[in-house]
Amino acid sequence: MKTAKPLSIYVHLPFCASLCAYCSFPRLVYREEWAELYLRKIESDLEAFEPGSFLTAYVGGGTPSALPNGLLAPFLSKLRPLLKEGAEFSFEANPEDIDGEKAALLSSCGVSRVSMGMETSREEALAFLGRRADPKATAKAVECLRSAGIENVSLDLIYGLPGETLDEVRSDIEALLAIRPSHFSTYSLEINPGSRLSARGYEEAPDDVLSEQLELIKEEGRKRGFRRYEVSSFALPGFECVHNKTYWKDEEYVGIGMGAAGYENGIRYRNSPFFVPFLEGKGREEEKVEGNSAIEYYLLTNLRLSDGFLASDFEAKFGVPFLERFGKAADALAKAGLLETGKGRVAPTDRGLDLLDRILLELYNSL
Amino acid sequence: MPYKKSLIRNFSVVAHIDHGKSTFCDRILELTGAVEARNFHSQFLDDMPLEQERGITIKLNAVTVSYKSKDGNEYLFNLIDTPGHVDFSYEVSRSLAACEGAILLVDATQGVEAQTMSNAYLAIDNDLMIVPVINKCDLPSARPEEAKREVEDRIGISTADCVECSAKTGMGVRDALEKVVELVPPPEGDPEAPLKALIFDSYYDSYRGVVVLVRIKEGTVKVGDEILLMAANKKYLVTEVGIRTPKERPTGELSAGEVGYLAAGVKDIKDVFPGETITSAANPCDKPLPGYRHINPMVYCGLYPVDTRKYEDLKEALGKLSLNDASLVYEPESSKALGFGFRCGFLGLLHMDVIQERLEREYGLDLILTAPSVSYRAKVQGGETIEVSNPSEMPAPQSLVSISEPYVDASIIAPKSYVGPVMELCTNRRGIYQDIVFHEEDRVEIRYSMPLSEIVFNFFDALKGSTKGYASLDYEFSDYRESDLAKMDILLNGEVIDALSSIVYRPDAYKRGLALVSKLKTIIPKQLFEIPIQAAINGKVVARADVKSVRKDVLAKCYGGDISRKKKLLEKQKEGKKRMKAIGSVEVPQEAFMAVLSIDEKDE
Repeated sequence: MKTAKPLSIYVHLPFCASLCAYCSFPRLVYREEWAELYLRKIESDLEAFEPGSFLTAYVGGGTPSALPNGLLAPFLSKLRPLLKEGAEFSFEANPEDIDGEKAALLSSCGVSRVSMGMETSREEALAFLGRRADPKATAKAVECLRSAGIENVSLDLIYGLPGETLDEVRSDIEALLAIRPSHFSTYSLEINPGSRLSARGYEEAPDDVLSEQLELIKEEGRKRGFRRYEVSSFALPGFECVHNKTYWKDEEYVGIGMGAAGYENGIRYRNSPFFVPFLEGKGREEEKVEGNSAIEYYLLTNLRLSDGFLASDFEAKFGVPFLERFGKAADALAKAGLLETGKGRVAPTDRGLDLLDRILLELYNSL
Repeated sequence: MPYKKSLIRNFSVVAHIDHGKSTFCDRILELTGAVEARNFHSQFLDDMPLEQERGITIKLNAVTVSYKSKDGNEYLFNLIDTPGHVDFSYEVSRSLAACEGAILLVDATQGVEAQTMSNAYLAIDNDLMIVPVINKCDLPSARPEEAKREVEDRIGISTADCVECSAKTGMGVRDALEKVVELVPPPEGDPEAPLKALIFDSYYDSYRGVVVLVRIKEGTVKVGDEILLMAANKKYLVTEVGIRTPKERPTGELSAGEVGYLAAGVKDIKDVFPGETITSAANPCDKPLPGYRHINPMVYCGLYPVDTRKYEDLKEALGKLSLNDASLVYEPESSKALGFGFRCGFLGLLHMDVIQERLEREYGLDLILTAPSVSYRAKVQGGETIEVSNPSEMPAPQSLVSISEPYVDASIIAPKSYVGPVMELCTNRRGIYQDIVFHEEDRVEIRYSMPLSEIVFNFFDALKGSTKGYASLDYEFSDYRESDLAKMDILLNGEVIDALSSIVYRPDAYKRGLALVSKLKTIIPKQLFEIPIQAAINGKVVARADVKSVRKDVLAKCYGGDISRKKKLLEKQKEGKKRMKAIGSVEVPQEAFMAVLSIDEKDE
């Protein structure tokens, strides 16, 4: 197992101007005094790292862009020196937070990539999701970013809203592609038990409806040159997210912030998702990754990539060839058209990416 | 020293389920000081946790307590409990045969229900003095006068001596006991005559073997006596005799009129069925007590461990349960789909439920039950008759001459406004109308002769459904009748799944087949390929539904690299998958095998 220091860092900024109905990530409504306390803690956590430690950084949330420039600038200037020259530096934003001033700040602090939650192009759908954005905001924000020199923009798109039609999905993906992002991610709406949407009686759309909508999104993306390189990520050549690929390659990364997950020295951890315990440095959950669990993590991550993994990498890591360990299950999955195991590579087919959980359960059960 | 017979009262309390019998018995035990109030374990007679939870009594029990009457005498009460469910009416009748009297407990808010009547008739059949007691009179909705009138009109016993009480508050319970002293006759019998004792219950004890509860009708039994079980024709040496207060207290002997327990090194509980007569091996009585019946299971099902490696565990658990339950029968069987398991026979559906729950809860087993079946009688070429309690044993159509099935006399009591729906339901279930009795007020008793298989097929739920829960049901086996029956197979992905086969009334086969495949379609999760589900009779498909193949199944959102959460979700799914049975390439959840029971009337 590799012991080299992680080359990626994730920083979680939990504050949001308003809370979206479907979100289940650690988040807080923005209040200045909380944000100050929080950033003080983050900045002190960052002091543990040498300058030039990381190849990628990702600032996620929450809504990092919801922080006022006066708080963002000092934080970003603490983080930036930790990155190597030419590192990928991603920042999550809400479209309506981005104006010329904020775009200039991000650019001057070294942010090279901005990921924005466009989600949908339709006003009523935004309202359903509890988002405050107006449908034109994304295009305006992208304009500002480009003017400030940030060309690499990723957009998020949600599909599978209750009662959503194929035509509505088409208008969303067309609107998204018209903004010409270099990358987009798409997710079907998850309605977890206990969430606000579930309490209001909504259910997730059936899998055949979701599948039809996803096919449409894939097809439109393909026409514009996007490749689906991960279950829900699509990129133009050269614009795959390097940071996210560290997750999918089962590599280690540092997680900073409330509820942030990390993976260091063979231990996966998650910081407390609650404000006060987090500030006090308490409530971190840890899991030593070993034995079969290590194999399970490896498959869960690597098989999300359309390129899968090299058979030789698996063997080097676990000391046994993949096909020896999983021969029967892998054969069945190959016959079902979900997995390809030829040419020294193990990779899901396009259908396999849509049915990844079935693949994983088959493989887990034959461990 | 035997107790003075004139001061003994042997009685039971009988009631419809939920009419407050257990609470009433608790109050008796308190009043007689049998149980100290501070140690009082509510509902003492129901000593299995499961019974307490379900509020029903399954295992019979009996206690001996002393009661100081207002007349100044101290009486010995033998309170004999009876199970309160239709599955156990034979046991009830044997318990009643051990008594001279019975308290008939009627809920003042509900009045006379189906089991009130059937229990009352059992008591009358056994020549018992009946003391009617109206319970729950403390409730605002109590209507004791109406309840009394129902007792008079419908059961035909006088309520001149009726007591109103509330077991909950204790009001009137002592008055009821005074009525027992006054009205229930003391036992008869000659302590010097040849021994004649009735077994009305038994339980297994690993040190002493089977312990039986007995009522001595004639003669005396002592430690060291050699006894003869007349129906089993087996002899044993008595090792212990005593009474239960409710703790066991050895007394060395029991004589005519008394109730107590006896141990004699009996190893197998199936040798001491309720109703059996004990006599002296040296000086036997001339004939056994009347009323003994060897009772056969009414309902059968296959029991299989989900994990085939747990077969031995299941075998051991069934062995242990049957030590204490003479009416549970089982024998090994195997299924192509489910592997090795057991075909088990039960007195009824409740009995089946209780055994399943005990196996799962007390023995930690994960079980698959196949749909319950009754025992059919198939006449084949050559004149032989075969008992068919498993659909897979059904003879091939070409060798089958005729087939008959058990019928029951069913009695349903419901408010008048539900007569239509009840009759419609019974007719749909092949019921043959017998008669209908309009009682005072709002209530009607409807009697049908019906195939037991229709009752087993979810009848009670359907009845509750069509009467908003107001109907009560009682039934009793009557006879076997020839029917137009056929075996219906279910095919998954083109393969017959033996454990899903059932025997159906041929004219209903089409609609039942359709209802079943539609139900299975909702139970079997989508898989990687499309799965046709077919119902077929003699190879001819009568109904079909398809489970479409799954097209999307992936946990997409994976923010900030929180991969552990995804893995936990997958592990949960993995556990769920373990509880499914892989049959060929199809994964089938446990409940699919009971699907036939969860079909609603509207599905048909």
